[in-house]
Amino acid sequence: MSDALLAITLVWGFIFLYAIMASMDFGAGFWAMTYIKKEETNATKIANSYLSPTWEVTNTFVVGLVIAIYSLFPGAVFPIGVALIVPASLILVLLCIRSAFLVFSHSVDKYEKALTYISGVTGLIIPGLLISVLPITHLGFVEGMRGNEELNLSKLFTSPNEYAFVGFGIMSTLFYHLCSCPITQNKPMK
Amino acid sequence: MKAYKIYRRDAMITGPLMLVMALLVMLTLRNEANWIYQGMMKNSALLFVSLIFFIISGIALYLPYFSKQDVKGMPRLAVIAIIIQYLIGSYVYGIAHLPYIIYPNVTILSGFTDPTSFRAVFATYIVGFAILVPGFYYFWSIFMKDQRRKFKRRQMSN
Amino acid sequence: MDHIQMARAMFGTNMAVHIIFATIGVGLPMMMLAAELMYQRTKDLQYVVMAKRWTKTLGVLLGVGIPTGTIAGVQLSLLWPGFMEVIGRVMALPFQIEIYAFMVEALFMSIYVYAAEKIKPWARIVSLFFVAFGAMASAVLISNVHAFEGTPAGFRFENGEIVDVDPWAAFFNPSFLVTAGHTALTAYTTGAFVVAAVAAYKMLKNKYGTAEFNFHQKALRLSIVLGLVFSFLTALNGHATTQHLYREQPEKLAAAEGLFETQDHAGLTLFGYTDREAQEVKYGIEFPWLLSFLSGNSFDTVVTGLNDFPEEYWPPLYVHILFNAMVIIGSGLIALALFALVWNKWLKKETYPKWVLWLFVASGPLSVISIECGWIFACTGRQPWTIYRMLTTEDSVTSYENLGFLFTMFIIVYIILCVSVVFTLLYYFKRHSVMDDIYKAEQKDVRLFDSNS
Repeated sequence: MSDALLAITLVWGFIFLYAIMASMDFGAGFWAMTYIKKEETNATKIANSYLSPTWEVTNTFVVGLVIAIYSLFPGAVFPIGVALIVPASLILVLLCIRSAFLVFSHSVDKYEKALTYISGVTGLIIPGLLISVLPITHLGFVEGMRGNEELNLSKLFTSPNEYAFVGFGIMSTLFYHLCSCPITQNKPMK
Repeated sequence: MKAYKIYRRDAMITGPLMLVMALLVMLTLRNEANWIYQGMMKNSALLFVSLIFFIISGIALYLPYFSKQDVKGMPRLAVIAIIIQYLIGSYVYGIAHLPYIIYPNVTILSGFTDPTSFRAVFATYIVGFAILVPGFYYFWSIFMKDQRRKFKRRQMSN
Repeated sequence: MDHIQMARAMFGTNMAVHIIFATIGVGLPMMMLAAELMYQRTKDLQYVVMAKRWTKTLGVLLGVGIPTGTIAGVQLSLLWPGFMEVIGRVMALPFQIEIYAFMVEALFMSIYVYAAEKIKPWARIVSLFFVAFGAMASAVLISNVHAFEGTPAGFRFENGEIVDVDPWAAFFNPSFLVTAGHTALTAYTTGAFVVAAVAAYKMLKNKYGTAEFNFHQKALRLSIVLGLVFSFLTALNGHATTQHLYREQPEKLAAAEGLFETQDHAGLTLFGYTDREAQEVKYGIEFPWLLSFLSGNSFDTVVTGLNDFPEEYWPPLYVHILFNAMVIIGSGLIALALFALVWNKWLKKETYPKWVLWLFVASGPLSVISIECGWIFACTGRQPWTIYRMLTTEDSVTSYENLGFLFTMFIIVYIILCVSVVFTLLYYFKRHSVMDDIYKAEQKDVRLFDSNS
């Protein structure tokens, strides 16, 4: 295997790991919001307690992933940086609010309800934004000469493929979380 | 057990929806980014295997519906199957994406770092993971034990 | 504002917010470790309570520190892709290792919090040590990238291509130790004085002699000792940093001091502002010969003035004010801590006079301001370069033009976070008073650390 192939395998492996971790995290947020009215299920509580220890690691993993990309493929930084500045900034803002309220709600019980909605809504939007990175890399909408690249947003927003990916990302996040949940939930009852 | 049933009911909705979305992704890829669609179709056998794992996980979740007895379903198998399914899917997409990082501007070779830097960075990955993986395993075992104890306490107080 | 300035303002705002939480995030674990060690020495349970309350505070502060750090890490490649391309090729190691350092911190923090009552005292201290170590290492490694920007090493440009890459030479660039040391020491100083500020405030609000008063006085004494040690070490290190500037980035030093003409027996000017037209510092107090002495340990040392550099290489001249603020606050902190220590140890006074306590209350915010001034000075003082004499800011910035919207969005988020973090801390500690915690600590079988903290 050539070094470059080894490196891209590593990066893709990280993306895969992150996707799994993030599905648990984001899915938990969304379902906790959906189940907020169904008190008898305890599901909200379960989903919420499942959130807490993973967030630090998941958050750092984002940085780790970005660092892996620019330290292994610095030549890709400029076009990636320009293409992703809008979606990545949105992701950052949402992640930031979400993580902060996750922490605050542990200390301020008043925030718990706000957190449920924040993590629920962001749990739906962030995966959608995250996965839209993929179509950006394969649709060829990053235009212009080297050092002057630009993402053609109007082409992106009119591309059915982009929406298909967003829908797929959201659905798979929700589904994977539901699959993984019963494990943590069944075991203690035995 | 109620919570589990609710999860399962919602999985029954989102699972098929996810499959539909996956098909839509392939359909739109064929029109808009034929190069990657062609690449993925080279591994169509693997895509089929991934579909089988998806179905396995579905069966594992809905086992109770198929039998009259009180079968619990096999959530653990469902998770493993779904992760394998995911792994295969991302492998097929990833391989088809090569050699481009961003099509058509950057390939893995044109973007690749300096070889000396690569070796240094790679060495830190090995050292870093050798330290962190056991550490996290240890912590996770403490944490999970703690969660289980708390859960039991909650069950008893109910 | 033009495109570059907008990008700089955007990234600068992020750093300005992040650095508050990052600095305290490095300083507080050191204080927690000190409190735990004091407990082992004195067996006074109040020190455990102290460590616990600081841990809680740290946990809440990390709620802003980590997300803003995530923003910083990602925004670097979004706003400065040209810069990160060079960093990726040459200086990726510190970022890479920083991730591990942070993970180590997070890991041991979780062990310390979740398993505090289940593990032996020595294991608790070891895990806390690794928390402090991880936090400090992250700060040191990130500052190393900053050091590299000022004193690049380990690569060359040849026809626009990067050649002769030596990542470890870049890692151990000439100013690594002084710069990274400066970050670590100032973080410890800030940690100590922020704690001192809270303790002093609480002493003012509580009657002399009450249990709560005594608790806070213990915290204040601990932070005075540590604050004195680290602020003094900071001064020594600051001196070394200045000498590095003199050798490696002379125009930055000249701008910091408002020195235009190259000269020996150069004077040091405090206060005032630099007047570009008159080529002097106006309304300042000059200490003759001092700058030469500080730069090279002798009055004959020739210090290069700004006029020896082309004007487009000049950093903005307001850095003189920032540099001054940093130095003056730093010296003030040493004086204050020294005075308090003498008052307490040698004059054998039971407690501190009110005005000293008010000074301590001010010392916390002031040390944070000093950190901010230091960072702005360090980064604007390097302009127009992102990598000194290698890469200009203009070549680093993204080609994306519409930053205004994104900038506004980030500012709103920072405001929300800063307001809610203050609210969270006030809310929590209003409901969990010192007396409750001390009472809990004295009861056996009650878990002092609830698993949520």
